[in-house]
This record gives sequence, structure tokens and C-alpha cells, in this order.
Amino acid sequence: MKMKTYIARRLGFALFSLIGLSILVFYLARVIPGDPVLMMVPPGTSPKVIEELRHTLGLDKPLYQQYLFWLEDVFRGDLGFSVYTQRSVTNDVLEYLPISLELVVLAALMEIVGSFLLGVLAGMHAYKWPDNLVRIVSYIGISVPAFVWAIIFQLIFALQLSLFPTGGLLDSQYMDIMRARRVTGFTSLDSLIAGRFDAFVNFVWHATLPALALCIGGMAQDARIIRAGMVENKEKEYIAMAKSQGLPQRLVMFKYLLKPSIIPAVTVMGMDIAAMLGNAFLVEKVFMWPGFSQHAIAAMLRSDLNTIVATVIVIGIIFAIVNIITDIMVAYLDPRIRLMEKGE
Amino acid sequence: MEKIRLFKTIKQSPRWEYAKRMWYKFSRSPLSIAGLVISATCIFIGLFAPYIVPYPEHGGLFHNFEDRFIPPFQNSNYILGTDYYGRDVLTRTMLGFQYSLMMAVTVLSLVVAPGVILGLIAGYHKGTWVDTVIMRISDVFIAVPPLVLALGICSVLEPNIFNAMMAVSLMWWPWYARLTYNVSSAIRNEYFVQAAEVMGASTLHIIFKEILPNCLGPILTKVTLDVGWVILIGSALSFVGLGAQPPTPDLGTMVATNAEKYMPDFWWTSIFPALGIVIIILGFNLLGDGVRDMFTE
Repeated sequence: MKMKTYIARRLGFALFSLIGLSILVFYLARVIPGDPVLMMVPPGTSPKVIEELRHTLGLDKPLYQQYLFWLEDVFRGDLGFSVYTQRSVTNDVLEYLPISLELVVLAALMEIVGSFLLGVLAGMHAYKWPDNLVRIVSYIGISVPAFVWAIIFQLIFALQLSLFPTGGLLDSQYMDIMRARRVTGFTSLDSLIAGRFDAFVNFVWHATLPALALCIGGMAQDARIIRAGMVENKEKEYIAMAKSQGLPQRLVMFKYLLKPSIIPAVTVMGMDIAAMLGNAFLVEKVFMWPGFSQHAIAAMLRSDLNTIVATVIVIGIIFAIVNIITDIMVAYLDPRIRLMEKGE
Repeated sequence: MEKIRLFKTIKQSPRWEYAKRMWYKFSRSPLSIAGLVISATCIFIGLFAPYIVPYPEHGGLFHNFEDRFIPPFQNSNYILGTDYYGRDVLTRTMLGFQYSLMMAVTVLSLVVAPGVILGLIAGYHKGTWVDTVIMRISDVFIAVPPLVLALGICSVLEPNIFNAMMAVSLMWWPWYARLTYNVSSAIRNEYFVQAAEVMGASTLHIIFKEILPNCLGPILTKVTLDVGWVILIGSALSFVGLGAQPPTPDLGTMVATNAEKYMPDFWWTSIFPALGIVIIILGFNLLGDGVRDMFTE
């Protein structure tokens, strides 16, 4: 199977799941909470007014037609009106989503680098003390939820040692500068575009603790997987052959041993990075990170239905993109998977 | 007399030997034993918390402002300190175990059976429209991180611990369907299944008597590991305010409300319930690894 067909098939599956997801959340938001018209009007409104409102909003039509209208709006980029912020949900998404995404991207980078370092360290010194240390660290890392890490990091590094800020996106003086210079919405990119390197550093300084809290669980897990892969592949004959041919240790280690060992880790990393989108909801709350998750929770607590629906759909889309990228990367690293798809 | 005893030993031995071998595989790792001890302790606390905690009345709207914010390890009456209302943190954390385990038991008892049955049906009918329908529907529920969908469902409903359980259950079954599907669709083509088909066994017999017993290992492993994960999701929902509401002594709620208001001066009100969550997850994770060892050759 060619790479193009493979990607097209993945995209098709993802689109199908997303349509299904949209039906699910539409049902959740329109049917379970009760009559949306009655929720909009003050009590005691005459039935005639209610009927008229129902007609103008298109809520007297059958449910599947309402869904199709709604889907049409979504495809046009209209996610409805937010009762919480009193403006279009699309605007809110565009404003808050980049701030969450840059946190997740930073956490993902930290996770990839960290798990490689720890995993290779443990794999090279298998059954010696670095391996045991990584093993203990990873058990703790997996068992402690991201929001508990967030609280512990905040308590130790921000509140007690004052090495990092307790929360927020930027210091207040940078906040004003960046608000004026908004181009992409990503604070990190905007600060670089504006040439304010100090603002960029300030951003990274604020983002370090939340990103660390987000990635540490996945990092621990991936380090274990890389380590297991390396230990397993070390016994294989092709490694003995490479060594016996006198290839340098470093080449054997990184080219022949590491590459097959990271394939299972890439799959899990993709899942972890996708799961960060969920954990961001908790970590952003602790660090008062003014991102999409923080905004979504505020809207959820106020039962702002359009924002709730938009949240699930938007996260679903990003989730699908991350999963597809992971699949492509795994297929690229491991030709066996492509061949297996062919056999099906 | 001697003969009868011999007969009995032979008759009992296979099952007993099997259990012994299982226990041997499980107990080879000290970490599994540690997991068993920790999770058994957690279950014990969860079951008997109201009877063994020092101050059962501190679970609710109790207040005693004279004893508020006593730091931990200083007053022998309150080993882990007290919170804003003068309630014992140890008592509330132990009562929190009860809610967490209740959440795990409810969710898992609701989702395992339907998930497994759907996975078995799809796996047995692999490649037909039945497989496609079941697996594509389950894909929908895992198209977003579990926490996000659970948050969405909880926010539409009224936030309380019961709705949180329903929300988590609604998005948890696909994982069991997927797991069972993967195992059963592989077993489906084994000779013993084909033999049963040729002999004219009913679909029900094949699914439940031939295929299901071979899926039990991975399912049991996942159930054990999931106790920790369900508790994690439940406490996360409470943490953002969409699960159990105060004054319920739920671990996630305690961590969140106390972290928000009383950090860093009164850190123990939040950190000890958080450690409670960590201990439960750690215990069931280690136990799950042991169960996995039991079923691998």
C-alpha cells in the first residue's frame, strides 16, 4: 500500500469518527438538558412568543434537520454564540486555543527529549543503578496524576523556592506588550515576530512548570518502553553482527539499536501527547494558564452549551490530527506496518 | 483408605496446580506483592472507613474552629493536621477512599460486561457489517481524550458524583470492546473454534465457551489497571468542580478546593488527599502488572 492511500484511509476513518462524535455531542447538548427555548426565555413568557422564537431558531424542525443545519454552520466556521462570554464561540476558540496548544507543544517536546534521555540511559546500563533509578522514577511518574504534579511543583518550585512564577502566561508588563502585538495568537511566536526576546524568555519561564507537570507521566512511561525495546533488541543477531563487523559503538547504539526500539514508544507517545489535551484542563486550572481548557471549564460550570459542544469538537479534531501524525510516523519508521496493511 | 485419598488428590490436583502456578508467576516480582498489599489495604479502608476513622462525623458539614489548620505531625489527635473547618485530614482522606473505590466499582461493573460482549460479537464476526458497525461506533467514543468527553457530559448534567459515574461509564466501554475485539478476532481463526463450528455448535456456545475463556487474561489485567485510571478520571472531574461537590470527602474535591484557597501555608489540607489518590493508583498499577505476569508464559 502506498503512503498516500494509507494517509487517505486514516483521514477517512478520522472524519467518520468526528461526524459520529458531532452527532453524540449534538444530542448531548440539545436533547438531554431539556427544551433550549424554555431555557432562553424568562419564566412566564406567553406560549405564542415561545412558539415564534422556536420557529425563528429552527427548533420546530425534526432533530435530524436541526443537526444538519448545525453541521452546516460548523463547516462555515460558525460555532454559535456563547452565553458566557457574550460573543461568538469561534472568536473564543481562536483567542484561547493557541495559548493551550503552545503549552501542549512545549510539554510534548519535553516529553520526547526526556523520555529519550532516560530510556537510552536505562537501556545502555540495563540492570545497573541508572536502570533501577529510572524504573523507580517511572513508577512514581505513572502513578502521580498530572494535576497532583502541578500542585506539588507549584508548592515547591514556585511558592517555597520562588524559582518559577506561580501561574499566568506572562508577567504583567509583557502582557500589555503582547496584547498589542497579537499576530498568530501563539505568544511564543508573536514575541519572536515582534523581536521581543525577553518576552519569549518570560513566556518559557512561565510555561516550564505546567509543561513539566503535563509531560512527566508520559515521559516516565515512554522511558520504560524505550528501555524495554533496547534491552530486547540488544540480544538480536543483527546487533551482534554489526558489532562483530567493528562498527563504532555509537553507530550501533543509535542507528541499529535505537531505531527499532523507539517504534512502540512513538505509538505510546502519540497517545500521551493526545491525552495531554485532556490533562491540560487540570494543569491549566492549577497554574491559572489563560488557555482554552481554562476557558472551557469556566463555560462548562456555567452550562454554556455552545462552548461545551465546540470544546469537544475542537479537541476531537486536534486529537485526530495528532493520531494521524503518529500513525504516519510509525509507518515511516516501521515498513512492516505498511506491508501488513497491504496483506489485509 | 489410602486408595480414596490418592483418588482425591489426583482429582483435585489440576486446578490446585494451576492456582499454584499462577501464584508463583505473580509472586516472583516483589513489586506485585507490594501492589497486592497496597490495594488490599485501600479496599479495606474503603470498605470500613466509617468504622475505623478517628472522627467519623468529620466527613460532612462538621466544624470546630478552635482546632482549625493544625499542622501535621504535631498534635497526636490529628496526625495529618486539620483543615479550615477544623476537620481531621486523615479522617477525610480515608473516607475519600470510600468514594473513589465506589466510583471504580460502579463504573467497571457497568462497562466491562457490555464492552466485552460487544467486542466478542465484533471479533467473532470480523470482516462483516456487524464488526464494522460495532467498532466504528466505539471509535466515536474514543475520538477525544476520555476526560474531555466526561467533562462535556458532566457539564450538561447536574454536577454530582452519580452523574460523574454515568459520564465515565458512557465513555469507558469502548476500551473493553476494542481489547476483546483484538484478542477474539485473532482467536476466531484458531482450529478449536473452527472445530466447534464444524461440529455445529451454536454461536452463543462458541463466543462464550470457546473464545471468551481465552480473552480473560487481558481483560482481567485491564480491569485491575483500570481501577486506578477510573479513580483518576473521577478525581479529575471533582478537581475541576464537575464531580462530587463539597462537603463530600472526595479526594479530588479536597485537593482542588484546598489547593485553590490554602496554598502554600496550609499545604497539608491538599497534599495528603493527593497522596491518597497516588497510593490507590500506584497500588492497582503494581497489582495490574502482577496480574499481567500471571497470564503471560
